[in-house]
Amino acid sequence: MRNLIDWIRKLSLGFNIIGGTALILTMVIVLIEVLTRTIFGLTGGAVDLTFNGSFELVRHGMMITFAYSMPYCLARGQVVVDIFTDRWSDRIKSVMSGFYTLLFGIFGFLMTVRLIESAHSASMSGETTQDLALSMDNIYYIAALGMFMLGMRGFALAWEQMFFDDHSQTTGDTL
Amino acid sequence: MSSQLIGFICVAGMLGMIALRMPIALGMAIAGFVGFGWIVAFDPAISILESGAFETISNYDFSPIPMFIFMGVLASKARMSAELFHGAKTLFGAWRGGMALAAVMSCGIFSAISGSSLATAASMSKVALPEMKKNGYADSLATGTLAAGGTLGIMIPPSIALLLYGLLTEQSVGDMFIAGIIPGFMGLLLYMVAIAITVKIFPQLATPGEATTLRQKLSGLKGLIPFGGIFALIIGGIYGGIFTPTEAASVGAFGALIIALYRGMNRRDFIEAVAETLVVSTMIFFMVIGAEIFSVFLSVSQVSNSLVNTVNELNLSPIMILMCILAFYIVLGMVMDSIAMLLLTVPIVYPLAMAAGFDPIWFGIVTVITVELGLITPPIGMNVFVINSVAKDVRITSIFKGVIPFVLSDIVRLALIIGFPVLALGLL
Repeated sequence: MRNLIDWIRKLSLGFNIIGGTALILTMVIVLIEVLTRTIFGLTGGAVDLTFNGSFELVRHGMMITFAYSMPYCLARGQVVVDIFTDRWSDRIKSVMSGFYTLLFGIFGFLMTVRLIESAHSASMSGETTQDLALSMDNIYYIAALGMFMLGMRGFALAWEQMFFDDHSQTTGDTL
Repeated sequence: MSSQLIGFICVAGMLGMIALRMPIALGMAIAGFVGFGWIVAFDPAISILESGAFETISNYDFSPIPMFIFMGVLASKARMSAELFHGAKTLFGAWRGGMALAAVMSCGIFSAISGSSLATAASMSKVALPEMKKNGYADSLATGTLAAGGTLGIMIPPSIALLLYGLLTEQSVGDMFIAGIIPGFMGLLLYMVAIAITVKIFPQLATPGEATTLRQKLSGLKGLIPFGGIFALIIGGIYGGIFTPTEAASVGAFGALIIALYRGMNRRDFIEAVAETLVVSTMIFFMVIGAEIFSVFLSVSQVSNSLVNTVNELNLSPIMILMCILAFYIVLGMVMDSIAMLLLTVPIVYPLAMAAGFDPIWFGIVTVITVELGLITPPIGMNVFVINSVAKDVRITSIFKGVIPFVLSDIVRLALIIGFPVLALGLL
């Protein structure tokens, strides 16, 4: 079981790297847009390197960033109020955290199912994005993959939080 | 059962679950999901889950959040804190309490760039605290200054809290940032006044620094230029209509990256910066998704309308309503993180404030200042505990004693902005 959990952690780390790369690319896209617009303005329109679709690229870049980094950051990316439970034993707190993480996992799988349904209907209707004409079914599938990973990571983390005493071994560092 | 009653049951249930260590994001999402399912049906509730998550993470308007966070993390990696503190220190030279003034000033600039109160308190305390202690500053003044100084960034733009408030209430993020400029710098100025008054009354708390020449002062200013430049670029760009918030955030992050690379940031530091950005951004996005799902449920349940009607029946004056809201925030701020508190409460409180006839942007500024107070007030005061983790030999009570002048100055600032809304709205 520990090997499976560790394997899921490594896979989610891979997803996290994709998310980080998407974040940097999103930043670069915005910079290129600003730069080309500035050149256009400075040259009075003589040099036109501007392009359409940056709005959509940023939107989908953000989607990939978060859909793919949420699984790995699930354990560390939560805010809890611990003033009322601070004196409870670590074991109880760990089991409770495991239960809550399990709920995140369930949410991940529910979202996966719905995103796949959305992808199917987008595929049937031939829905595309407005500027770049990207097919929406692919975008939904990409998001669904991230949410599926969130579901798997949620179940794996929940298992280790509830049943392993040394769950820090498979929780791992951020990268 | 009426939808309002279901609404109140779910809100109470959510608060109960959050008190039992449930992550705030999950608490909001579950309350929203169950409440919506109970009132409407569970199949559409699952669709709300999907659309809430998908629409949030692919929302262009939210894209400045990770960029501003990235900029702040890179600024930390560029070792900005030491340079800022030493630069500011030379400016105040031989003034009694000059180091505390320098610490507040550098905290203000650092937190404006980093956008994180906790990161500011942690980074600045490592640099400024040993020097203040070495120069005979009282523990209470030294630690209190740093704990309070960290809170300045929540108001000085670019601020994640103002950005989230703007998005939640459909106000222009640019307007929110511009409205935050005067209150933010007022906070910085009033903190400096608080230090000056404190050391005037209790001169034993601080010592005078070394006198510096004009040349040294000008040389010290050099340390403030790179990140001060980024700050000016972001705010000037938004104010001048050159950049959207997303563009300003990306340009700021890129500028911070160039400075960090110039100062020797290596590949490992860069990867760590991206990873840290993802963790912090994800934390906020989980909560934003929860808040989106919760907001849909709130509108279906009519809880906010019911609250507005109840308050109207009480015939309270607008100022009384405001005082009740602020008291609620101060109490909540004692146990909850500032961003979480905003995301959780704004959907409920905002309709109440609008029904009372408040300006939405002014109300946002007042709310964020009040939320900020929670970071340094007992019993939680998260910044106080961050400072305590660096200064383990200083007692918590001593730090809380040290923040009293700053809490008072925040109350003065709040009173001024409530009394003179032009202070927040004047630049718009």
